[in-house]
Amino acid sequence: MTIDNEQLISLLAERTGFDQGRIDEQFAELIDRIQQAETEEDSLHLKGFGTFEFINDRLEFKPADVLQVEVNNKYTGMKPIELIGAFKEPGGGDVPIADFRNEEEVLDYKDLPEEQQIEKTEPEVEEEKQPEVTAEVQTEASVPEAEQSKEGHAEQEQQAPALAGEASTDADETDESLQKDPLGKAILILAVIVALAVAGWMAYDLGLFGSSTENDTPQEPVEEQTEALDPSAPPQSTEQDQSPADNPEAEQEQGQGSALDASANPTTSGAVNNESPPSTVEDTPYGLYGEFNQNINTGYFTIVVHSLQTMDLAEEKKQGLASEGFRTKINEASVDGQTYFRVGIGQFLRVQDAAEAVQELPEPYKSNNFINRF
Amino acid sequence: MDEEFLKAFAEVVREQVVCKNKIEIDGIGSFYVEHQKQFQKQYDNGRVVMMPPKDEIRFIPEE
Repeated sequence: MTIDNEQLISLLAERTGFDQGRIDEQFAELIDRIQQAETEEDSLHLKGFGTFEFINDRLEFKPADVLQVEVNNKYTGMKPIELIGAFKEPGGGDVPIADFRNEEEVLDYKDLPEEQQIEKTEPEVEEEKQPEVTAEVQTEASVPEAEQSKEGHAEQEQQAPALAGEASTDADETDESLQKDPLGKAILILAVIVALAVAGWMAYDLGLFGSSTENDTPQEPVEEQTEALDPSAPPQSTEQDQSPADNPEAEQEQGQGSALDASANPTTSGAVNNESPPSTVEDTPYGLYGEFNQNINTGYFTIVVHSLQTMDLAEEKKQGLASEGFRTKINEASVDGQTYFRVGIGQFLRVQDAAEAVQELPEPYKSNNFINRF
Repeated sequence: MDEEFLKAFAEVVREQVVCKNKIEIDGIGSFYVEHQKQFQKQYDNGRVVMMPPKDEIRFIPEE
């Protein structure tokens, strides 16, 4: 529908309430003013409507923002949408370079070449993440193997640098692309750190470092061996052997007399051992074999091979050990309110000496013992 | 020119244009609304964007 002058004047008269003559007069004056702007190259601005101006011998109208928004009401707020690069127009022809009157809108997107670079490098980053995942899987798979052997933690330590080397190799391969993508670099570094942290945690938590501290607290093997060695013991006395090393400070030197008596009366030998222990008393006050040195009552290290709940059993074991030539000593320890009688062999100044002496012990003492300080 | 008249002129033209009516004023030209469909725009660097549709007011001066 087209609105001509007459319809427009009637609409204006309806809107303003002016009479027809006054509307005609005002309307003619407005047209003259617009034409005057054309001739005198002087723009006419109507508030809330737009600007009439004379450009290149041609009258141009620039709508005001209010008018533009109102006309474009349905599509206000819609922004250009980024499409994938391979997308073509359905017709099959080349995508036309837009003949766009509002070039400033387009310029906003032309000024963003970096964003496009980031988009191009994103697929590479995803490819880099893949080796990292496999590296973590390898770490997890290697832990059970390491767990089986005592040298496990050494293997683990070798694997950890290998893992880092693997990651660094990946990083070298993708170094150039990473320089363009700081986010991907950060993710890669984070993944390496997490992988190393998981490997370290698993190595620690699964006891792979236990071999280095094994001589200090091998509690469970001693318990098992105690049960195995004492089949005749009452059940209540063998079932509840607990961690003797939990409170080594609380241990007191007791029962020296009984130790002497026991060593003086080697009657029965429960253990079967064909090794002939050297019976010579060493010159040094410390040692594994010989008589118990009464001059050293406290502060020495000994190898605990039995931990029993009754003194009778402990005495029996002690005598058996004494008959084999070991220095033996029974020490009473209270663990969680329960009293245990620990049978230790040897007297050592340093824990290292005791650890070396453990290697000389016959089985089953060699593999089932712990070093404690009496 | 009366301020009230100018205000009414702007409002009437705006209303008629929004209603898709073409306004022809003798001695000046004509106003109308042109609908521009959405279209793909490809830049020289290969970037492709979909430009949204929009309605724009056009003015054609009288010859």
